[in-house]
Amino acid sequence: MLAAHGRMVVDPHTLDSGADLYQLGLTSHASVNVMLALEDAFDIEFPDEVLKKSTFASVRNIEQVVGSLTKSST
Amino acid sequence: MKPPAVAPGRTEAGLRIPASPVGYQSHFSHGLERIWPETNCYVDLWIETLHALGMDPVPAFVCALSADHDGLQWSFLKQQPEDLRRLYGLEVVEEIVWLPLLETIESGPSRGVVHTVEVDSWWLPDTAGTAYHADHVKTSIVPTRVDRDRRVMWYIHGAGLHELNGVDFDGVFGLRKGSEIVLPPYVEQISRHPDRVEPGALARITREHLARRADGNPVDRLITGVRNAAEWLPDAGMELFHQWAFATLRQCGATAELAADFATCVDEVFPGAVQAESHFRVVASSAKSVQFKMARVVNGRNGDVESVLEEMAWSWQSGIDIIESVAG
Repeated sequence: MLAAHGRMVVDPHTLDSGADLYQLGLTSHASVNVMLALEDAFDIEFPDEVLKKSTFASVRNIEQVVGSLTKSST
Repeated sequence: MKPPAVAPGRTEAGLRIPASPVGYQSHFSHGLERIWPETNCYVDLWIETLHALGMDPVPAFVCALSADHDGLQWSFLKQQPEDLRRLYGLEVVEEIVWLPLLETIESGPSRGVVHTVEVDSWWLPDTAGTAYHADHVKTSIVPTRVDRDRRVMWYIHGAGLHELNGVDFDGVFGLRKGSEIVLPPYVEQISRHPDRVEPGALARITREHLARRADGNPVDRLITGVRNAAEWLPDAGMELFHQWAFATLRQCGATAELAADFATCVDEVFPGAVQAESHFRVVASSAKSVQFKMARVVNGRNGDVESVLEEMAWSWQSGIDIIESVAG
């Protein structure tokens, strides 16, 4: 998802899960596209409290939020 | 061609930016922990230019207090030339570009000036992942060192100080076939005049921005625009969404975050101003949330933002009211 929509300067597949994605080139613009792609792919909707910059700051953060949303929807 | 000899003309101290890209520490307002690490190319450029000159950029954030929404877009925030003169003794005027661009920039050090230059982000390696060798985007830089023999330039752009070289050097100066500059770019010259710093200016400038701000609450006008956008965004596509979001929510949010910084800074001359900080930060974070939610509208999904918008408007007004009450 990050590779397709993150427009980052590095291959997201090679990243440590805690690496700061903004430091690696993720922009505000791209984070919006990542959010939409995640919502479409997992049929979820990010609640208001996680619609903030830090949610998309690392692969780990994204996994935690998406994981909790997919678990609660099953 | 080599730049023509420049006759001595200035008696004031010349302006130089000696910082190197290696190990350069950006200003805190460009930190990763920020809600909006970047505002727009011009504000960001001046933040780092002042920072690289060893000056505090925050007093110039006073321009956030007179920001507005005009019914279509938020103000393209800019540090005002008169504020830069009165706060820092820096004069900013348009350069007459009668020489080729490279020669114009090379003439700066001997004249004691540095330049802001409009360039194409295509040639700026710090935009890798967005525009670099991918998209033609107008932006502004401050070249701090130019070496035509090695084809290397150091330049301030966005949140930092960077280096470009080789084909990018040729491209940015229009020296490459296919990159020729058709219209002369907009170029400003910055010069330093310490005697023009106005003691006590911060208090007066703060009051002046408050006095000339538009009637009413600009966030209320932004909200009207957001509600209207809910009607046309579903047919707009993501590219137009991002352009709209940049001109509205990002500018508003980033302006509010700078206003929060300013509130802490101006507390020194107007005790109590710091209480506005938290209100402005609420506006900044709310604008980020609304941006995410409005993106859904383009996809035909739920974009309910009403509760957030009301809090944004209240918080902006609260922040401004606090500054106004302590500034008298």
